[in-house]
This record gives sequence, structure tokens and C-alpha cells, in this order.
Amino acid sequence: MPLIDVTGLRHAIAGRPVLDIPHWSVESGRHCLLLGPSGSGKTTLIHALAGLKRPDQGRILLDGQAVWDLAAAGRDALRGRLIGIVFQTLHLVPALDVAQNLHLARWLAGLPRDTRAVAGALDRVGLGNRLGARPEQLSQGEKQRVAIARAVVTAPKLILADEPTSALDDENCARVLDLLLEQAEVCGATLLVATHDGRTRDRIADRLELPKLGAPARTTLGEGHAA
Amino acid sequence: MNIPSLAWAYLRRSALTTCLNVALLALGTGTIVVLILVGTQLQDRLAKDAAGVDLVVGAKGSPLQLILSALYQIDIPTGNIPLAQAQALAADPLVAQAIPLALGDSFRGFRIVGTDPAFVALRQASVAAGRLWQAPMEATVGWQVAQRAGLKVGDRFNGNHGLSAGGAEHEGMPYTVVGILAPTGGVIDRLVLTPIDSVWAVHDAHHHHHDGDDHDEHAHETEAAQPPDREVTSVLLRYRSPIAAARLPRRINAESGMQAAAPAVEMTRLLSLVGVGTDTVRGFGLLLVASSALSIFVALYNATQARRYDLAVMRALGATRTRIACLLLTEALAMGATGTALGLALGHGAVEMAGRLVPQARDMGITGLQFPATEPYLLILAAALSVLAALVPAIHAYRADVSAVLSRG
Repeated sequence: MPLIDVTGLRHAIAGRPVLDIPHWSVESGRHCLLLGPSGSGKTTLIHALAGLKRPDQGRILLDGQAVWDLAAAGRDALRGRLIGIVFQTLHLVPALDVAQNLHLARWLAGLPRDTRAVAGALDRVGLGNRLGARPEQLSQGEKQRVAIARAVVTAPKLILADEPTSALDDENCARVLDLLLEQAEVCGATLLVATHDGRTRDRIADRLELPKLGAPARTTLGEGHAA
Repeated sequence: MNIPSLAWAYLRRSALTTCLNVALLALGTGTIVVLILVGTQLQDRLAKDAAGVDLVVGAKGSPLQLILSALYQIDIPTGNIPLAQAQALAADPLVAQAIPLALGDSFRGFRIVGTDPAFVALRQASVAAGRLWQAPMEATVGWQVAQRAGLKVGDRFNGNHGLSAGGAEHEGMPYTVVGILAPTGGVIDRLVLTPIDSVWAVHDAHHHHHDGDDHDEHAHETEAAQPPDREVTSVLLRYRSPIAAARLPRRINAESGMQAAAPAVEMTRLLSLVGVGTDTVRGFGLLLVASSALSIFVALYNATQARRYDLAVMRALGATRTRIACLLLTEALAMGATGTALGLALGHGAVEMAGRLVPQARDMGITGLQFPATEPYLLILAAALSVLAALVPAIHAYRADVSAVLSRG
């Protein structure tokens, strides 16, 4: 059973079509790039997958569960349980320190407080010594790593990363992708990276290309794909 | 992590705003608490000092002045009435009890009251040391008089002319302290009680000594009385039956040269007059509480605007709408509860301090360690206002389009 299974997904914003995905699926444990220029509907698709934005048409199955058949609270619970998100703006909660940001993610996912899990996640991204730091005390690179740690601390099945490398130089772009892939492997999660950044093409083989103006999406599968 | 700890983290982050809101609420609540405490205790005291007295009869004049001077000992009397008429009242079948009062002198500002021992029973006082007065020039003093003047049984003191401190001393006519009353928290604590004969005797002697002198008008309420035409200042009456309430005051006011005033009526009038002032201050207190609620609303509304991305991220991490709304309500409730608790402490503390440090408040037995039944309503009011203040921001957060907020960044 694929982790993500999308059928007949269409969405328009202010009458302008932005998404047209006849069919797309991602097997559990595979990683996939959502490639497309700005305005091609990458963020809309990520939000639709996460149960945050209802698409105009279509069906989204996440781990076999029809996301938009669920009530709002059910979608919230599913999101907390299955998905870890790395936002484009990273956005850590400024009122909380680094460790508390991770505890918050676990709490919102309905997981018990686990100091070792939080410390371990931060340790894996090289921030084991910054548990008590405030977000404003972190460099941009450190924030990025905390955001990745926050996304994986709930041991999700799916990690959604929205433009994680767009503002980074080549070296940091490669480092962040490495970190995302590494962390996805550690927790056995599927990584879905939405990006317009061509530098990511050769790092993840499976791709869903979203052309501009809502033209039908094209799927490219890399080596080792079962289908 | 839980909602209270998250709310606390946010409140701590905007510490100055939080503190100002809490302080504003505390000031409003504190003001109302002071008014409730002082108002309640003042009314209790007034009721206690008027207990057992249905009617006060004295010289014509202001009925309120008559009540204040005879019952509460806080105003000058309206004049004197003939003893014979007072005795006739005592014999009236409509009257169950009549206690005469003769005023005119004081000791260190404490009024010397010539009266019957029945007055002590009326005030539900008891003797702490010594005994009640029996013979002329014997005095039984109230608890505060003994404490402040350092009087003990066997001491002698001279009275001063007039009802306030500073009058000429009646030399050669000393009173002997034969007893000290236990504290009651009532007006009797501040009185020097003696037989009416003592008052007459002192003023007869005074009249002989100062014949022809200019005298203070108010200090002569009993002085004009010359044997055999003795006078008293007022009489405290208790009705024999309810029907007396309808007949006796009207008859006295219409058919005699005296005035009858009912404490219940006059005190209601007084409280309604004083009430205008307390209502104004209470209104001010409520205004402060409402302002703080408005301030909490503005703070939370601004916070939800400033934190809309925070809240959207939380939603994206799995927070339900209800949990986000609860977070804002918890913040408001925390501010409301802290402000109210501080206000209660502030109000009680201020009244207790006043009760200890301000002589007038101390005399009245004002204390901050009393907890009126209306106080829980204040807590409910503050909580309700806090929730109300958080309602609009909470609904905003509840309805927020998370996807749109996250897309805008």
C-alpha cells in the first residue's frame, strides 16, 4: 500500500488552475521531489496532503486513510501522528527554547513527553549542546537544523519539506538535503521535498513535476521503484 | 508540555504587557474589595450600634443629627429635653424600655455619658475588670478609653467641658474608675459611662465656678438644667409592640416639644447619601476592571495577530482548533486570576493596614481579615471578563485559515 496515493486532484485559486494531478503515489520509505516553479501549486499540494487545504476535487489517501473524509479534528490527529513538516520559513516558536520547541511538536502529536527522544533528535542534527537556546540566539543554519529535528522528533511516516533550500548557498543546500535524507532514513520516513531549486534534482530520483498554470503533473520514478 | 506551560511561556515572553494588564486588574479589583470590606463593616457597625433601639427621642432639630449623636456618638446633640418628659416616656404603655442619656463633657476626646446600667446590657457589653457604676462620680470606661488613656480600676480623672478634646477641665470633681468594659467593637468601647447624677453634679459645680463666663454652646447641653428642672440629652426607646412604631413617633413629634427619630429610617437615609459617594468609587473600580478586561482583549488580539504564524505552525504540527482557542483562553484566565488574586490581596492588605494605622479606622474595628460573601462574585466577574476578552481572539484563532497564513509566511 503506498503511503501517498493521490487521484484526480485538481485545485484552482481565484479561478486560476494551479493543480492537476491525475494520479500520483509514493511508496512508503521512498523519497520524492515536488518540482515546479513558483506558483505551480507545490505548497498547495503539501497543504492538501497535510489536511490543511481542501482541494477542489480529487482524493488523497495517506497511509490508506482518505484525508479529506476525516473531520477537522481527525485531520489534525492524522497530521500530528503521520507527518513532520519543515516550513519554508522554518518558524520556531519564539516563546520556547530549542528543546521546548521539540517537546511542543511531540505534545501536539499526542506523544508522551520524552526528554531522551528530544535530546537524541537534537544530537543527530548536531545541536545537542543548544537545548536551552532561544530561537533568536540561533544562526539561520542552526534554526534550519532545529526545524528538521522538530519534524523528525515525532517519528513521522512522512516528512514534508517546503522549499528547504531555496535561500541557501550550494554548500548549505547540499548539507540540508543530506541532513533531511539522513534523518528520514533514521526514522524510516518518506521524504517529500517541494522545491523549485534545480540543485536538488540529482539528489532524489523520484519526482513529481508540477508545470505552471495547472497543466497536468508529470511523474518521474527513479531506480528501485516497485511500480 | 501542556496548555498552561505554553500559556506561561507566551505570557513570560511579553512580560511587560502581562504585568501591566495584571496590575490594572489588580487595582480595579483592589478598589472594589476595599469598598466592599469597608462598606460591609461600616454597615455592620451601624446596625450593631443601633440594635435594640427602635426610637430615639431628643430635642427638636435634625433627626439624623439626633441619631448620630445619641446612637453613634459622632455628632453634637440637638439640645436637651426635660427629665420629666423623658420619665413620662418611660412610663408610656407603648414603651418597653427607655434609657436616658446625658451628654456634655468628655475625657481626652472620649465622651462622658450619663446613663443607666441598662445601657451596658443594651450594647451587649460586659465588665472586664471591676464593676458597673453605682454612685455619682463613679465611672465605668469602655475598652478603648482604658487602653488609650491608660486607665485602670481605682484611677481618678477630671472631665473636660464639651464633647471634643480641649475643653476646660472640671477641676475638683474627679471621676473614679470603678470598672472597665470588655471590648465589643462598638461605640461603647469609646465611652465613659457614669450615672446621670454625675453629669448634673459636675455642671452644677461648673455653673457656680463660672457664673457669668462665656461658654461653648455645644458644651452646655445639660448645663442649663437647674434643680428641680433637670434635663437629659436624649432617650433611647424600645417598643413594647409593633403598633408603637405607628403611633409613638407621630404622637411625640406632633404633641410634644421633643423630636422622635427612628434609627432604621435615618440610617437608610444616611446610607443613601453616603451611597452616592461609594457608588461613584465602586463605579470607578468597575471601570478599572473593565479597562483591564479591554486591555487584556487588546493584548490578546494583538498577540493573535503577531502570533498568527506561530498558531498556524502549531496547527500544522497537529494542534486542534480547540487547543489553540484553549491556549488563548488560558492566557486570559491566567492574567485574570493573577490580577484578581493580587487585587484581593491588595484590597485586604490595604484595609488591614488602615485598620491598624489609621486611628479612625482602628476605632471602628475595621479589619482586612474579613471575607464578605460577595467576594466570590468578584472572582467570577473577573474570570468572566477575562474569558470575554479572550473570546474574540480565540474565535479568530479558531477560524484562521492555516494554509493561507503559512503560505503568506
